[in-house]
Amino acid sequence: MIAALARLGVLTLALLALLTLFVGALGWSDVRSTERVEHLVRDPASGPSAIRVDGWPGGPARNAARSPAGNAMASHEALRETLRGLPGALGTSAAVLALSLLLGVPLGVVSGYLSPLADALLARLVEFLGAWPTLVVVGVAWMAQDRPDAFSLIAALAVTRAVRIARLTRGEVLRVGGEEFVLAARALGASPREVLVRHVLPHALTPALTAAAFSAAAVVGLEAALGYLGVDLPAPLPSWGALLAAGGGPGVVVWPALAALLTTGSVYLVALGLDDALARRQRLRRAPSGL
Amino acid sequence: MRHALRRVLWVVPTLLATSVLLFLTLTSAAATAPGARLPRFFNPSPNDVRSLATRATAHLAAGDAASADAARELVRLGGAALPHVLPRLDAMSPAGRARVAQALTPLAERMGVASAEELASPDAAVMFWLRFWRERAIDFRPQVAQRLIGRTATRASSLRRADVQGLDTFALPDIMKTLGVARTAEDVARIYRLTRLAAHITGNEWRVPADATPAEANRVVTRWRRWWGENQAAYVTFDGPARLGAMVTETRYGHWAREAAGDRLGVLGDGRRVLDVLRAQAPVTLWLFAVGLLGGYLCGAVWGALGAAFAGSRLEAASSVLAVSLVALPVSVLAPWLGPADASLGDRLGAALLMLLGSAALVSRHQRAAARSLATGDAARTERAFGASRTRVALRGLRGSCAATLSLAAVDAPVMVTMAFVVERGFHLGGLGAVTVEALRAHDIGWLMTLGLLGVVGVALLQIATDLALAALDPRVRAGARRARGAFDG
Repeated sequence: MIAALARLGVLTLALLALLTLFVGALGWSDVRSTERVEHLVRDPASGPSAIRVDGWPGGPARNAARSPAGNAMASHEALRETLRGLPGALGTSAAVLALSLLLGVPLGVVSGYLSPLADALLARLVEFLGAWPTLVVVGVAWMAQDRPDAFSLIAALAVTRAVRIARLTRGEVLRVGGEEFVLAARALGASPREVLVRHVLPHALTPALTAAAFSAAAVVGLEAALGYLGVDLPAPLPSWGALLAAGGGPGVVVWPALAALLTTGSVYLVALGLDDALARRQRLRRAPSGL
Repeated sequence: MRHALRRVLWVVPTLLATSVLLFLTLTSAAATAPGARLPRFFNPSPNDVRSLATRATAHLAAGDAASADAARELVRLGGAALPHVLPRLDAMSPAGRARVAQALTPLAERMGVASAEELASPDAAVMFWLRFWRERAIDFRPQVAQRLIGRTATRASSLRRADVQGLDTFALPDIMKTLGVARTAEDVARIYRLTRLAAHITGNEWRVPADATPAEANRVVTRWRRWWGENQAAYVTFDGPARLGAMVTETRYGHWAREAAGDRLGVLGDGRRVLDVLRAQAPVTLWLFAVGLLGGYLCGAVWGALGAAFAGSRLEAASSVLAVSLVALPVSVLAPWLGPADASLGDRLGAALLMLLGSAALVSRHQRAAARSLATGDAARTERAFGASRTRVALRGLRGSCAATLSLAAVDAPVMVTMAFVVERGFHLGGLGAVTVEALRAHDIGWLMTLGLLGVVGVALLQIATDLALAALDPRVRAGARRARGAFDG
């Protein structure tokens, strides 16, 4: 069942990737073509800052949704903007996945296997980052820049996700470090590096990979949520969350909603399939050999 | 429990250390924040009225390029600078003395002690200030200023007002101290009198009307306090221990801490106090957060355990599809569609339900993964062999399988707060989300510091609660803690 769902996820993701290429081929990523839409979804008064404030509750965004006769966006414009947002959503998700793995796994390994100081530092880092909502972490990253760019969003999201991956990796490294096969390898004279690379890491990576895959799904939703709150991808990249916040009736909102559903859903299904496959492999490894 | 108490006691130093780290992060990010000219945490040579006045006088006496700015600075420093300027007039060159004396002419007019015509010539100006200091030096003492302000606060007359104006900025520390809080009409009258004087001395037109309400008067007092917090170093002298203290307080961190401690956690850009905003708007966010965390974890744990117990069945398929749909439709998609136009009790329940479902769907995945190995374990198989139903086995195994899920509660908290911000926006509930976005846009360090510190306390308490819950749910954790304590006690 899970395997079938995962295949469906892979298929949908492949279609979305094709659609991304299609958007590029049509030249919709041209900034000038979206001038009007940018005007509608972004507050010009906010200047170079990517943080919009539309005075919710009941701000202009909501009013636009309730009075389409005003400056509401047409449905086809919303569809085009949603498709333009696809590379941004997929790219952000993939970049966060890669960066969080690159940061989280080494940090978790160092913390769990090598250095008690790094362990203590990781614990403090978790407490420090855990104190701030993700919205604030991204907002603070953007406060540091005169003209916020997509990389700061990716970096801020990757750091928050990397902490989670580091914690998981650390836990697994500690668990696997005490297993009999690791002790046996040590007793046979393997160096700490060899034990780590050949015996500990292959086992400890499983939950990190699964967590990273689920993080990729969460990032799409998180990016939409941040855009909805007004902390969205900087212009000219459109954000589905900003489109949702701009409102304009069901004909407009349906497109970013559908895109978020398909993208998050497909990435989540792939992650679910990966989790299932890796868990099955681990169960098979641990099962008695029958001798 | 001993472990939990120790953790609670550690919250205070952690809070202090975190506030320093938070401040460093925020001020590094927001370079345009107010007070950026000051050092962050330590000021080895804090400026006071003596150093500022000495520097300005030196420029004026030398007649260099900075003379014009120095003249303006002397007028800004006002009466508080006179004890550091006038006694040195004799020691200056005639030309330098004349320049300093003439630069003080606008101050003499403000103090009401001479007119511009009287001080038009350099000699007249020098003669006037030398005579002024001979006759009035005795008035420029803290005790005199304190007595004068005390009298003016209780009942003002034109003579008393003139006396205070004659001290100019030298009286400001006592004016600010005596402003107090407005509760009665008498308090409003006192604030009316003192703010008129402060406005005249500083040129800040923040006056309280004679018929103001206590709330209006307090708003003006807040404005004065904020100004005083940022500018008081220009009107007081730091000597001895005060100078040592100023090395810490005359920093950006010191200014923030003073404002936070003395004025209900500080003031937002729109004039509202942080504590008042928290009192009014935090309950909404906390309610959504609590529902998401407690309700979501409870429902998600049961949901995930049942999903694992019924692996391969239609029930599991339906459960997976529902979980995927809820996760795939982010709250930001659902909230604007489900959010009604006006805030009412029904809306709050709807918002809470959305939080609950979104959070439970996320938690159910962790729980399903954790319960999967237990559901196929020996204990579960034995129970099934003895005729227990799958539901019963799943629920009995919940205690053992939810430890891993529960340990993620503190890590999930920041995401849960962001989710609460989205839901409160979609449902038009006035929570902390709107204030936070505005604070980010306006680089409002005070609000972000408060949010961060509350977050630290929240996460620390959540971790303690999680540890206690783990110990209560899993006897192995209790036994492990007991063993560790035994080893520690020797």
